[in-house]
Amino acid sequence: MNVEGKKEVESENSSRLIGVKNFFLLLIHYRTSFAGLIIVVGITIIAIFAPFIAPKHYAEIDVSNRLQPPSLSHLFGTDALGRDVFSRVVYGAQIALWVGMIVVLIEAAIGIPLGIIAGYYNGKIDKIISALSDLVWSFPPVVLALGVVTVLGAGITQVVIAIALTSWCAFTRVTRAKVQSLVNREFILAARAIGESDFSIMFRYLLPNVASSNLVLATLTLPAAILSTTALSFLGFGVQPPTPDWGAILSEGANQLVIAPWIATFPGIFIVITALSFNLLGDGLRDLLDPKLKI
Amino acid sequence: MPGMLRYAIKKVLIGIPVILFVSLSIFFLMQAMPGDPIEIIAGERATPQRIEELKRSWGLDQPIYIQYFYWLSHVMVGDFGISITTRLPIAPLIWSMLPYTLALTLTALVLSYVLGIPIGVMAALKRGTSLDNITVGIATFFYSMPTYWLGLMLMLTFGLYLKLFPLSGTDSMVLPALTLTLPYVAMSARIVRTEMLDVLTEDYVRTAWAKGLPSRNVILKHALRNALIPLTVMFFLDLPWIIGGAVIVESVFAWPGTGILLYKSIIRQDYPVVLAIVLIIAILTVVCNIVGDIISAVLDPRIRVEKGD
Repeated sequence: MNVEGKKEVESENSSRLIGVKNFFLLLIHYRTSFAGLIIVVGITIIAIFAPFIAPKHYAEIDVSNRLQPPSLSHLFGTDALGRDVFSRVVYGAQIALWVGMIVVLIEAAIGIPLGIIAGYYNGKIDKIISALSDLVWSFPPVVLALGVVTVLGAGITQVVIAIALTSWCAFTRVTRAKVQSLVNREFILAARAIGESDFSIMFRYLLPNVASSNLVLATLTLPAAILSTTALSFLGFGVQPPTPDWGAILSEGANQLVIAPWIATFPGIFIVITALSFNLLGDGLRDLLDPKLKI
Repeated sequence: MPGMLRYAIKKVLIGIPVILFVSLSIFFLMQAMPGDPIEIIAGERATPQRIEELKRSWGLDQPIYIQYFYWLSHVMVGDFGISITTRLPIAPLIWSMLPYTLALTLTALVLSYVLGIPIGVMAALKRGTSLDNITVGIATFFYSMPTYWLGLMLMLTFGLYLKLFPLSGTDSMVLPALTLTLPYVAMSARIVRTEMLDVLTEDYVRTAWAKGLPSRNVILKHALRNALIPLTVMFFLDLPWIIGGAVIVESVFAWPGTGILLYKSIIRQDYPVVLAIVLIIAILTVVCNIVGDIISAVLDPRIRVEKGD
């Protein structure tokens, strides 16, 4: 019954889908983005194989080797408890990527449906959703997250909730704008004409068409999520010791900055490299999939 | 211009329920917090009668919605209640630290625009060249950097090794301001570049070139002016964000502003202070939003027509 509508959707998608091979050829053309991708893959491998890469367990205390500067046996030196900073930073990659991904998924799960509803219905519903997302958007996320942490208490779960609740609006904005540009296109009108329900139009016809923009946005949101969550861990409200979150290691290092600057230096370098690689990859994906997207 | 005025009044009128909504949420958060402020004010040895008396004088024996209006009327005249840990009024505490935060954040914000605009324009004019690529690369680099780490590294380099500035405290604002500024320079340079690239391809700019106007005129008068509209609005939207960012920078450099007060109050679980600061920043955010909207409408008349109906 809705064969025609479906075909429209498919052609709509296929015009944007590029073959996997071409995709990589294009990505090579965008050299910096390709470098970003390589580093992203590298960090992911470090995270997955952390137990094999790290010479020591992240919580292994060695009091006889406290505050050792970087050397061959301790690449990034040791901290105040004699723990190997390199091992902690390697395990930290797991936490950064996990936390970042979960934050982005929650943001997308809140933001995309709201954006589709706002863009599809227009009128009052749109105004309310847009006003809410504008309001949350303009509020400084760290302050809002600190407010949430004050209510819910410190801990990584609370931090993930806090950051996600304060940063979903970008997904709503992007999705809403995209849906507004699609809602009067023939394939949607056709779907309406054959009696598809609003729900079906929104989530079976519109959702696939906002996927590529949101993929770009997700790639660019992940570094922001990692920066925010590690910032809260740095302040002491996120991941609790001895779990080796990069922000938490940095925070310990800040106390020993003068006598053992390496403790704070290395996790910071890893945060920068990770955030930078996702940003470079995201910029490239944007040029490729949705050049007009402004974030 | 009546259209403009009507738009402005409308924006302000929309802002009022938003502020009420925000204040209501914060009021209920405060109710949900553990600890009874009255018992703290009265002290541990207060008799039940004394507590009753105090409750009545603070309006706490009234139904909750009356309590809300009571609280709101206090907040509106700048009375945020009493800190749990110091038992002193909150408002003077905040006002005494606010100048430090404002000095830091406004310096950073202004500096980031002063540096970011020429960098962004230059990159846009040299689009695709290595100068452009390097600029974008450096901007993305600073954009990807956690401010607290940047702060620590600046502290290490310029404070500890080069001994140019003190490590922390109020003697010098250079390092904290620089820490807060650099990521924003990167951000504003990126925005200016994108906006300039958009504007430079517009017909009226092409016409201006075609007319043979000197390129200085075309770039500064025709292109930059329009490219700066979104940036003017950004200034107001960025202000609350940069105050949020100051929380981290202030706690890294022990800069005695409201940010460090917020941080310490959360650690001490001094909820009234936390919520007072969050409320002030929330109101500031809404006000900045309204001002940004109005200014963008003044600068770009099309906005009034599109959104003003």
